[in-house]
Amino acid sequence: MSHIPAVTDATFEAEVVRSDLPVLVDYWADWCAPCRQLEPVVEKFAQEYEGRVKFVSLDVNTNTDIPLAYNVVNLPTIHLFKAGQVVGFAAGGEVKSKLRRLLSEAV
Amino acid sequence: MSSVNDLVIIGSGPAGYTAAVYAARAGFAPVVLEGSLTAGGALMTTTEVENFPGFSEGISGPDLMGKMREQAERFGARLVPDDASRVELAGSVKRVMDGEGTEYEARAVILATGSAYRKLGLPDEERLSGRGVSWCATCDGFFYRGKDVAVIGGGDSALEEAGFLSRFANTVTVVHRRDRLRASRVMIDRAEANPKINFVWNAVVSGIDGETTVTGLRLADVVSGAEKDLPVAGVFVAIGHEPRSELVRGQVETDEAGYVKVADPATATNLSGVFACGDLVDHTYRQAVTAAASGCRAALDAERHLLGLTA
Repeated sequence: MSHIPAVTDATFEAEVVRSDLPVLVDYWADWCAPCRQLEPVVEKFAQEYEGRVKFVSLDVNTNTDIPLAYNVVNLPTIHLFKAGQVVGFAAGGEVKSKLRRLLSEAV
Repeated sequence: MSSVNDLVIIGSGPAGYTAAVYAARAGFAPVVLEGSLTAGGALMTTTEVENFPGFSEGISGPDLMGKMREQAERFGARLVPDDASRVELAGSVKRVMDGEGTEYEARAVILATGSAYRKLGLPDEERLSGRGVSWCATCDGFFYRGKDVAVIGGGDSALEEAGFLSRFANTVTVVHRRDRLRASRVMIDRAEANPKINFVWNAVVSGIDGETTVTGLRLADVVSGAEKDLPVAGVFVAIGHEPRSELVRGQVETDEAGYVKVADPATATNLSGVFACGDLVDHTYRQAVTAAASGCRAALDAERHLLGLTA
């Protein structure tokens, strides 16, 4: 459903943790209405930050290991990874307002 | 030729979309600022709506809102999926700015921004928000499979959340500050019959424990003052709503609680050409069907204003 490239439990290490660029991970599920509404917002930022930040999405319904490992318990959740570490976090209703600040701090 | 619109509607719950359906059918081509993450309003996170007339088998909140949206669009409402960030409502031409900075001018404005979740007001709540403190059971219930969770509140939404969470969780403890629920009878009966749902009466949350995620609640008995711990992995706050009137405060008259004042049963505010409806004005009924009804009244009032039938 998302135009943001998907990562999975299996590809997370290579695509996110070992990425040279900072990575924004958008955790979502199809039952989460706010997640669907966040999608175009994230897509817009993905265009704006193209080449500087990598954007990926993770479906928590089909990938349960990574959310568990990174303590994801609310949707939507955004993590910003830099050099393999979570350096930015936003969840729930605050995601949209925090997104711009998190991204500007990451690059 | 002027680019001034007839009508801008701010909000997209049952009130906003119903106003849009009526105004669009009357040929006013309203612009609807639906909100970015909040489009569709409070029902977007409601699983089952069983009391909206005409849906005899019930309908999910998002499906109901999707249908209202389609209906508004079919008659020519122009839907903008963005928030209103600033408004100037005083003059005969009103200005509404969206989150991208686009400005809409209109001869009438309907305010239908609804209400937002009330917070407990604890520092722990901010600290652990998104880390186990949630306002959306339908979003987050999945993460609590086989775990213990708490719901704070005693109304219909609290019991609906509790019922939904009981599909996943091991136990659901409803924490209520009084000794009886204010929910409707059918919701109470259902919760009491649910073996996974327990109640803690006369208790308020005094603290939330946990470092990376929630591990438990500290509850204070409102009668004895005694404190006790309740180990839970998640807490869902459903203690009611507050009107989302920040956008218009200082321009439109509100009451002490922040609800926009209208000339009930009409929807006129203190400003000519500005109307308000839905949960933004209603602290009594707050139902999808009452919000829809007041949205209809706002559209009819706005039409009369636009046709010069009122001052």
